[in-house]
Amino acid sequence: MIYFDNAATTFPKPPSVTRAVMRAMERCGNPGRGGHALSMRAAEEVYACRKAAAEMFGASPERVVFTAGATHSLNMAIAACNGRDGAILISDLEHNAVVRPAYATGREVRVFSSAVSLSGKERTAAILASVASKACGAAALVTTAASNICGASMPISDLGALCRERGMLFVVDGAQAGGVIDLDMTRDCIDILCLPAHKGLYGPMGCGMMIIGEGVELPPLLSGGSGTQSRSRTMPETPPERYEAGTLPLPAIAGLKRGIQLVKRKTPDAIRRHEAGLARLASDSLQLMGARVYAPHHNGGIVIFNIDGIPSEDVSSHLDKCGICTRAGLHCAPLAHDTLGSDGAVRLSFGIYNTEAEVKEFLRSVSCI
Amino acid sequence: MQSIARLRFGSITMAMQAREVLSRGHIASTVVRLRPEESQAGCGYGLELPRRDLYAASAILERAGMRHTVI
Repeated sequence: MIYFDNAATTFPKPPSVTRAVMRAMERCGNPGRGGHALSMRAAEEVYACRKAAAEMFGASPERVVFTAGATHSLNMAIAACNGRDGAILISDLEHNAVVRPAYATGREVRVFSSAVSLSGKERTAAILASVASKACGAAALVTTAASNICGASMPISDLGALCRERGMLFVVDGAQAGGVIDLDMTRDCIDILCLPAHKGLYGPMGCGMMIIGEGVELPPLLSGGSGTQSRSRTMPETPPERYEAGTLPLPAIAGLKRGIQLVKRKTPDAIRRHEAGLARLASDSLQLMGARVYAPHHNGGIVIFNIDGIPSEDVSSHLDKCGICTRAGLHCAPLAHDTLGSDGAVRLSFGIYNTEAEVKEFLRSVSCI
Repeated sequence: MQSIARLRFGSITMAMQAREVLSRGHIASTVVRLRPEESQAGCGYGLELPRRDLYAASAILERAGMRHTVI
């Protein structure tokens, strides 16, 4: 089996991650819910993961909030706009995890250009100009750090600086960037960073993080048990417990910690270069074979393509029969597909366990279509 | 006088962070579940440490901006 769907979830998970999940289920109780050994052991696991994430993303451990996933985090982050007046800016590459919550606020949503047809400094300048033209009176800017359908990433540092200058809340969807792009809350002026455990951080599904910058306040989305200050009718006043109602996904958090440690050891930069190298091989070869590759000039680990006259779902189905896992369709990002001029395509998304030999096998399978 | 002192924090996370801060200041402490009469609003966590280290610990935590209550 060749797995080229790492943008959906990374596979396989490192053995250290699956072992950590199993150990947590075998040895830990509910974190922050008692004083006995199993509860405290669980709480230590949670804290260790907060620390690891804080270190990776330039935050304080208590500002690392565990959620059910990046979508949950984004919903909370976007709801934070309710305390501010003004429109919400989103890029034209956004996933529905940003688009839907943004429109659900009932506020004006302004879409700025990701200038995906450009590259380098010209692209950055075009993006910033687009944002500046739409920023008047805006409350927040929400952007992906890296697209889930092509290799394009966004100039997060530049956008962060612009938002800070304009007094806009800066929310970053790090779903495809966490683990492959260096993101630092302080350096990049990120107010809220939303991440899933199960993509570039190689953790299990069912868990994510919302990392809140210093001085940023937002209302909790959920209320419920927090393990402390139980007589209070409201959630605790300080993070992370303020935003963590109910039992945490402890086994997933334990696995996430191992995933973060693995990514740290390999380094995001090396991982990105590996994935981009495979993407370049696939993209260049597909184009030589006559396939249409969208935005091929970007240097990320994702490629989308179409073969003229064959629906993307049929291509993906053929590849599946050849033992190659890809994802076809709109990838929950119709806005991004519209921006790239696609009505659905086949996506290849690489990970640390993919090899050049697998890409060549994939190309052989495509040639048989 | 008891040889052990306790500090109350707003959350178990803050207690664990405080433990690290104190450790860097060479003061050992243990995260504990507080008794009902020790918690402010029911259910809480704190640190237990030798009473002889209490003054120094409190000073370290104050400098680090970490809110705590000596119980």
